[in-house]
Amino acid sequence: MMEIRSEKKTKIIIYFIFILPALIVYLAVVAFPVITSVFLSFTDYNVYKNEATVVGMKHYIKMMKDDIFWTALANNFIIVFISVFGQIPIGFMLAYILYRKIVGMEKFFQAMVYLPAVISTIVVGILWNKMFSAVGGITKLLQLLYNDPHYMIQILNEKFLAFIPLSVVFIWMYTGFYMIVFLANLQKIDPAILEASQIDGASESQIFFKVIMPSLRGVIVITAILAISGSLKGFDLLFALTNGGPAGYTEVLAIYMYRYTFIINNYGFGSAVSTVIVLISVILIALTRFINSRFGEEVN
Amino acid sequence: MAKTDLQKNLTSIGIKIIFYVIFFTFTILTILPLVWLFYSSFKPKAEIVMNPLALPKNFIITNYIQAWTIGKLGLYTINSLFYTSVSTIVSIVFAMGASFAFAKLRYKITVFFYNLFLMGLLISIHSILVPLFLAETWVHLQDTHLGILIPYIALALPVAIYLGTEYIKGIPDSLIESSRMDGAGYFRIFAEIVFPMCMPVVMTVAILTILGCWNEFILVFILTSSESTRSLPVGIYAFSGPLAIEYGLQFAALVIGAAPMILFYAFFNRQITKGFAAGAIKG
Repeated sequence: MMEIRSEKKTKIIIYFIFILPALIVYLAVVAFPVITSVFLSFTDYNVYKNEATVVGMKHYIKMMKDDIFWTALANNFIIVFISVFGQIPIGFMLAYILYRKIVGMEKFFQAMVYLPAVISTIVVGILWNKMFSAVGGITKLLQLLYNDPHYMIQILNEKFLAFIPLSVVFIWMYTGFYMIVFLANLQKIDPAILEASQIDGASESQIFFKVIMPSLRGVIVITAILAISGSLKGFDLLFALTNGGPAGYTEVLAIYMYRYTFIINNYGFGSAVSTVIVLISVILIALTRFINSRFGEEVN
Repeated sequence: MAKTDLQKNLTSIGIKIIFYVIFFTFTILTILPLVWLFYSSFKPKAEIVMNPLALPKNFIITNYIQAWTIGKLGLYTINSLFYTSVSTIVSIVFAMGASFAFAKLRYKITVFFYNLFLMGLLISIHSILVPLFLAETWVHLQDTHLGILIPYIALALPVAIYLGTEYIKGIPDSLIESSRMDGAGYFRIFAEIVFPMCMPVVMTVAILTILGCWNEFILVFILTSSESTRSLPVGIYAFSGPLAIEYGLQFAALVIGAAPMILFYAFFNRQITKGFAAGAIKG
């Protein structure tokens, strides 16, 4: 009896020895800061004196009254929009073509389309910034196209047009990612089902809508979640590409937070923006899941 | 009948051509900016300004030599290698240990801890940036190598633990029980039986972590202030500052920044795509 008890005790000690290193590091870096961030967002924090004075909702009220905050938030949604209507459908289309083996050299095509995703976002951001600049390939191409050697694109300098290069870069960089996510899931579909439906005389479009699409419902939700959290996380690329400019037209929440915290040194306000980013992503992801479960019930 | 077959063949050939065109276009659009960057990096500044699209007339490599020395890219490459290798090894050991405990030494509290780690998949680095920066200044870890390694390890854990736990769950309990009967302790079972069996998932996790750490920018950008702790992406970003008009140097720096991962991708592209597909399916 004693032996069993002591063995049980050892087992739980062993359990904690296995998980503690990971848990401690994780709690120190993720849990503690998230909680601290919420606390700091209700204070004015002085980094030199290391003092925090509680100011209540001040930062949140200021944020709600700030036009740039709303622009940044709207821009985040535009980026989600680019993902959902750009990268995801294009990625899906490419994955489907690869999956049905319609084109040859599939390994080569897949490798090429995915390539940009492995390059550092900072490098990609600066590269495209240069591409659209006066010394850039795209500028020169447009000059040749318009037959005007002085044609300069001011695209990165106009409010609405600023999103065109941005979409190009996002699609260039991340379409391959969605492609492989879709491809991996398409390949999970049992080939026997496809063969059976082909033998039964189902057409390509019937196979697509009746067999393939229903089995991808979960993945489509996942990609939507990835697009939402990816857009809220997206910082490096925009930071290097436009740095929120011109005149804040391409500002997103992450850059807005960065500027207030590390340029203006308003840590309390920065924490408030961080907290809002976490809240929005939690709400959006919960919403996506809710819609999925509702939608799922109807289908079943 | 023959006619419809012919028509079918024709339309399928037509579709095939369209799809080939789509893929070729995509491939070319993907590669062109990189090709342009590559050959431009061998041009003197004047040529870049005068004729952005042309191939180099005076093929020079001084851009690279200057970028490497002025930008201290050698030092930053060593730092990047250090951060990436240490974070990858340590996070794998930590994550696999925890995964083993979660999958095989089941306790009720596992659900809580496991979900705690899974929540980390949704947390973005920016939401912890401010307090992390402050916490590191409080404990004097700011601008140290350790101050970068700790968050790198922590941020690699959620996906590693998720993939690791799911994988170890697939290892039969009987294997562990029979080793227990033979008198092996849990540490020996983990080190000699479970961990070697996890090599496929360890490879996946290693690749995800290597890519993530090597390309990471904002943490090092915020948490470091001296050259001795900076990594390659931050070093390359520095060329966008006062040096930004030295296009040749900047292009060379960008190539130096992009090349290691492109090479890595050339060798491991199957594992990388497989790894990202697996890592993404966490919803």
